[in-house]
Amino acid sequence: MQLLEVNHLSKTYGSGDAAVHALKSASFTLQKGEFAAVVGESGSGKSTLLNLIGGLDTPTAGSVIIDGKDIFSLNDKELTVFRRRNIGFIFQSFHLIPELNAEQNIMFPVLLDSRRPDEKYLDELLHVLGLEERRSHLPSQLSGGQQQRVAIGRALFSRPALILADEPTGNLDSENSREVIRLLKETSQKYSQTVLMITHNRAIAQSAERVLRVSDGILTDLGRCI
Amino acid sequence: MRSYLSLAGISAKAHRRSRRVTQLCIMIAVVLVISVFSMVDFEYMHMTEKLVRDHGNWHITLNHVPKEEAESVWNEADVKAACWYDTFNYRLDQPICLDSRPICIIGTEESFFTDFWKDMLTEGRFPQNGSEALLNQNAENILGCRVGDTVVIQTPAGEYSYTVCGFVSDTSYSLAQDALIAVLDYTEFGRMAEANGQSREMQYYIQFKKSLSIKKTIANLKASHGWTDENVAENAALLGIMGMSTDNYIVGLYGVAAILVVIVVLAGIMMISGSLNAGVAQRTEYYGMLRCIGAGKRQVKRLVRREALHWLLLAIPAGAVISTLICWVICAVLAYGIGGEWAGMPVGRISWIGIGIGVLVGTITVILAAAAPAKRAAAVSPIAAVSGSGDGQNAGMAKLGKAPVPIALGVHHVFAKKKNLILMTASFALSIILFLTFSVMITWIENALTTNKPYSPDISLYYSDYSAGLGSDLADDLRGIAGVKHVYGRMHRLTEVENCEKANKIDLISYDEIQFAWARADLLHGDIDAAANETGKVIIAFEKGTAFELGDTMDVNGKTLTVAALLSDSPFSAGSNPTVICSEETFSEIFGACNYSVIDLQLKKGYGDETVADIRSIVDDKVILSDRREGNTETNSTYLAFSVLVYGFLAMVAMITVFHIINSISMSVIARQRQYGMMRAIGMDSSQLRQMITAESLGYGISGCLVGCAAGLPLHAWFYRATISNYWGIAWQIPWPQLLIIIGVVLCSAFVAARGPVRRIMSRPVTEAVGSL
Repeated sequence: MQLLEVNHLSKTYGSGDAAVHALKSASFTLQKGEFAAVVGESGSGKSTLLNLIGGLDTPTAGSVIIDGKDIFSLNDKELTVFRRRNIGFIFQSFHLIPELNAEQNIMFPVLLDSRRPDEKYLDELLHVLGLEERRSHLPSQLSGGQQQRVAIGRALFSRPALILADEPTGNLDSENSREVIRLLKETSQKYSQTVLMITHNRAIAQSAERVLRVSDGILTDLGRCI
Repeated sequence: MRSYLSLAGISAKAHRRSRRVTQLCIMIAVVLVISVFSMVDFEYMHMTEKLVRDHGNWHITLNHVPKEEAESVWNEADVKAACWYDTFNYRLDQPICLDSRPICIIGTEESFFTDFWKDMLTEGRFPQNGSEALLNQNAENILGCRVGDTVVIQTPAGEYSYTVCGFVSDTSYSLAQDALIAVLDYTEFGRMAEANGQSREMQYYIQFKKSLSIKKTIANLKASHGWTDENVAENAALLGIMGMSTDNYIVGLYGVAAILVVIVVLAGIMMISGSLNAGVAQRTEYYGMLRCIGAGKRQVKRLVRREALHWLLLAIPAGAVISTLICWVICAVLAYGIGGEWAGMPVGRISWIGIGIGVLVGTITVILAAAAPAKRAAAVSPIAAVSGSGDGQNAGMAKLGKAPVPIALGVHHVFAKKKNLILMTASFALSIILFLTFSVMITWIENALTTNKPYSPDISLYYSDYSAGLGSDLADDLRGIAGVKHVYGRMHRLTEVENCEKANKIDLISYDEIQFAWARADLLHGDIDAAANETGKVIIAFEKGTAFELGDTMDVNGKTLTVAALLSDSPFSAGSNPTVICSEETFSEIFGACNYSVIDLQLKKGYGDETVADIRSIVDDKVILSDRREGNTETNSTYLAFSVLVYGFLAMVAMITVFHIINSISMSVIARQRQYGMMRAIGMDSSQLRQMITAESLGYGISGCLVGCAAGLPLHAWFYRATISNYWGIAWQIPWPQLLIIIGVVLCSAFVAARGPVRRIMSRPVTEAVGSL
């Protein structure tokens, strides 16, 4: 079942001679539960692609359809709510709320949606992420790997259909990187979530079910191998 | 954690230390508002007590109303107390005398002293029958009589003999008039008044029970009896302070408090908003991240507002305690330090009204102040979190020129963001405008409240008809009395003038040497020495509407007088004729040898009633000894209290200015700390960093001063002309001392403001500063 459909997505910054074509007519689809990696050089347009799919930025042309919904047809308020319910973000530098502990960070997006957090699911997630002992710790009391696991938990907790990860292992050592990717794959499979992840790490990209390459703003679908 | 809004509380607690400045801003606003309203509340209590003491605890009097009709009020309204009152020879102009001195006769009932003027009866009791009388303390001092003595009052209808049954206190009016007063039982008074053919002006004093419905009660009484304003007189002062009158003191007082509060709220919004804005600028990625994980714009706004309200909650208890302590100190200074009419200021009380209004205004201030930062936080794009594009992305290109790079960069920061420059300049300029405008009040106080004038006498001696009967030998004798500091007499004559277009008659008054010396302080134009030393030269005091100029001449009694000097003020109240002042020699040359009409005395510190008794012992019995000491103390204490208020307010403006500048610069640095961290990483040392931030800070200071002066000076001039020039003729001048003080405060604060942030930046590791967002 198709979850994400990207159609001729383009993004141009500036105009005239100063125009920079960050993304040129990118098109691809992802199935529900698929785990895909986006690779490319720095400045090639990977992050632009991710930001556009996440509705953080607006395209110059093209559309993004998530679960049958054209996200750019939504107004700002509707898009915020849609993002809250359907898209989970994982950042390279974690971006946790420093004043909240691990558990509170994970359930925060659900609170934003004025819903009661599912305590059972929270416990289960903490168990899967190996954070049971660290649930009351503040981000500053956690290691980088643990912080990224909290970020994964936060992205998963509202059960979004799509998880967008921007170099989630960029700030981690190789052991922690492997662990985070393992968790991401495991949990996305368990909860049938689609993952689109930017990475520079060749080994991590190879572990993905599908690889997309972006080079000078042009997207190429490399299929299962690179 | 039940709601996302709980983050606000958690965040406020977690950042308690780093957000000290914001907390302090909120606390200052709360302290100022509570202090202003607590002081108004305390002043209300004090004024109510003072008005009851001075004007009596009555609400209305009924005049020219038949006895039965007046007393029927008991059945129609909630009357708590009432009594009859009448007086004759109040102006001391009739041949009704005690020991050959004119005496004022009052007739009333006992209730007058038990319900209406409780502190007035100082000794003895109210007359129990027609043979007893109360006298005032002045009579006790002049006549030396005691309780039980018999006094005889001479009237045209015969002599009346009374036993003194007690004494009542003097008012500043009776002291200034040197009046004798006798209080009689109301029936006895009627007998004496009737025998002397006095027309009765009976007054019926009434005090109501329920103070809230007095206005309505009065209206009902007037309507049902057909009474007019002539029949019903209100105790305007007391009703005024109770809010039951339209033209009243307390409405003015609340008006002043409201203006102060508006200023405090504006300053508070300025400070708090600036500080919150900087916090938002510092946490751009944080808000971007919240937006990324699904927070809507409204939710971010709510979070920012809620966080500010949390700081308010933390600031309120401290603010209430500090402001109450401040009020206690001010009340103690007024009550014990200044005294006089302020002696009754309550010390050690808590004003719940003040605290309540402080909390309310504080909350409104914080909500208003948080609006702009909340909007700014909500406007942060979610992409800010993922791209790290917090600030400074749209800054224009810096022009380095020939100046050292740090200074050039600092100056560039000033002009980089126009909106920021306008806000900073406007807020600094506002402080200067406020300071300059309110500094006019200093000149106003110095001119309007006369007691600080060196010529204000403690005692004045004169005959009731102001005849020139006080010789210079009496002045010499008075100088010999222990405790007398200065004795200065004035000759006076209302005389016709010729060959003068500007007046037909003048009040010609003579000055001696010391009075000419005092007059120098009020010199507008001309030469006072010429008038003091040359016969035929005079000085004229400025009065609104007079057209006398230097060199004008007039002929008096065949002698030509030339105006040699103009004064801004004189000790004499404006009459219909111009007051012309000349030397004693000039006066004598015109009118021959003359005695003084008035001799004024000033007493040395520490000398009082005994010296007054000595003075009284050497002057003729018919001479009025007007004791102005109490009135002077009252005016003096008013002057001091006004000075405390005005200087306190100016100090407050200066303090807010200093604090705001330090806060603004600190916040501006915080907002750029990643940039500064980066500059440190590439080799900028602490002195270069200091130069850069000082240049930025001084840039804002200078632009603030320029705008502040450009707007503040015309406003100062306008305010000065309206309040000072119009009344005292003093021309407006650039207020250099005030201008230099406030410019100095602004520039010094701007200079000092850079030190703290630089120290903080240097104390942090470069890596932390770079990744601090």
